[in-house]
Amino acid sequence: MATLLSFLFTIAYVPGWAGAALTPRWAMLAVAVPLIILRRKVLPHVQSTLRTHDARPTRGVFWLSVAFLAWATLSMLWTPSPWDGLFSLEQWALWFGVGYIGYKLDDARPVYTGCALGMGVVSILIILEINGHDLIRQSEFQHRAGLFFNPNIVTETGVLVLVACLAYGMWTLGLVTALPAIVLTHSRGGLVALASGGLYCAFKRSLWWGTAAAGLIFLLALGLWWFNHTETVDNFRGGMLINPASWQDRLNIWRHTLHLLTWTGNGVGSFRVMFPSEMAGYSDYAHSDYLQLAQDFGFPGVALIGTLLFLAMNRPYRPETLVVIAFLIEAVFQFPTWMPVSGMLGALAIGRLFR
Amino acid sequence: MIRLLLILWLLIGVAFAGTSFYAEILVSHAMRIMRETQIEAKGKPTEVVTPAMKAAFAEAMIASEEARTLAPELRYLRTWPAQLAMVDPTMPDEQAIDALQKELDKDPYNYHILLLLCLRMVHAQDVAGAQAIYARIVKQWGTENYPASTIRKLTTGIAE
Repeated sequence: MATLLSFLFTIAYVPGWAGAALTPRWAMLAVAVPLIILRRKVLPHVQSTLRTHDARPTRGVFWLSVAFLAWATLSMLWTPSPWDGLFSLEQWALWFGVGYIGYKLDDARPVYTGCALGMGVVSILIILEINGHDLIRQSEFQHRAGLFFNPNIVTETGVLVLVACLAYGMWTLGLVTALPAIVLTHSRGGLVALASGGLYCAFKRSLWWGTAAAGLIFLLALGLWWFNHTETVDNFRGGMLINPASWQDRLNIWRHTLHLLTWTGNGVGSFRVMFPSEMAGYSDYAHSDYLQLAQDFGFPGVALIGTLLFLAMNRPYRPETLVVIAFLIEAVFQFPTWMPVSGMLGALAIGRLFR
Repeated sequence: MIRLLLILWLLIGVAFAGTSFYAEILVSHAMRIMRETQIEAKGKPTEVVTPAMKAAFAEAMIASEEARTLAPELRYLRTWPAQLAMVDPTMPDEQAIDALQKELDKDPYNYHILLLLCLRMVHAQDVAGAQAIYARIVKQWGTENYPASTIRKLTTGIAE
């Protein structure tokens, strides 16, 4: 059941819709997360994958989570767009709910298996697109996006799925389903996250392995740079490895976002409203989750989430540690927290670290 | 008590999902009209944009406004007034360029406004202006996108 749910969640898409890749997934989460937590009465068959004993989060983590949600709710008082705020508040509640499910879940492998199978569908669609059969044509500007709205999102989600599969020893499943999508979309943030996870793993094993992995990654990076350097930009329509315009866009967005920061934040879900009106630019996301978090929730929000993440990363190693590392690195350049599939994987993994 | 809160949360979730779906239905209707009109108008000078197209855009605008009130994430539709200025066949080039320039001042990275301004300048035979805007598009967005190549051809054509 968990495999089926996560598979359907990963491929949820309504062709022809403007929000084809986002709306169905948020809708699924909004209904599924409370239902799963209410599982005893409503979804007894899901319960079989959940812990049967009464597992409660550690008190500190519980109160930190409550404090963050309370601060987010309080910030509705000064958010410039209450409607945006309400949506964002629901999204944060869902992440804490998913984290709780992750905490209670005995075995997360069915979830990762479902997501991997979903990524397999995405990989097939991208391969078909490259071969001239573009079944999911989204717009003039997005290529190789599969069932996501942007190739970068494909890579960042694919990397999280791949890392989760590798961490649990499901090598074949991860490599066959997620790797093609990652390689074919050329997103830099996702590749950096993958490389960092690999490095962490290698150094954890031994210094020799770490050094060898660093050397290999350096050679691969050099090869990719050379490959990209010698190809025309047109061959990289889906997601360019080296694209100065894309870097410049990010730097502009970050610079403008820095001007928006205040001690108490501008309120939950305020980024979309604050960014264009203040800085005359246009972006729905800060392209760095840390900056967007600071913009929305200010110092208290950053401190609360930062403490939660610090506590999570200080827990004993488990396979999800690698997923969280990849997620946190992606969050530097991208917005995985605000994307349904990657956000779900990140929240689930963080929740599982507290077990 | 906790169970009640969870049920309340579930109801909010159902409302959240329902609202999002309804907004998507509206916006998809708007986007379909928009896309069909754009496909018809793509790469052509503005005189081929008929009043029927303008009416279609107006219909799309109404649907998108309604959707925007329901789903804030659909904010990208806010550039449509500028696009309406572009496709309005009765609006003189100078006036349309001025309107688009004002939109661009407010939103300097907006790809659609840059495109529309460039096309309108092409139509007004303002080669230098169109090429300057085209250079901005290339700088900010790269050269790989189809509309940018169309503009390159158009601006080169006029220059020749």
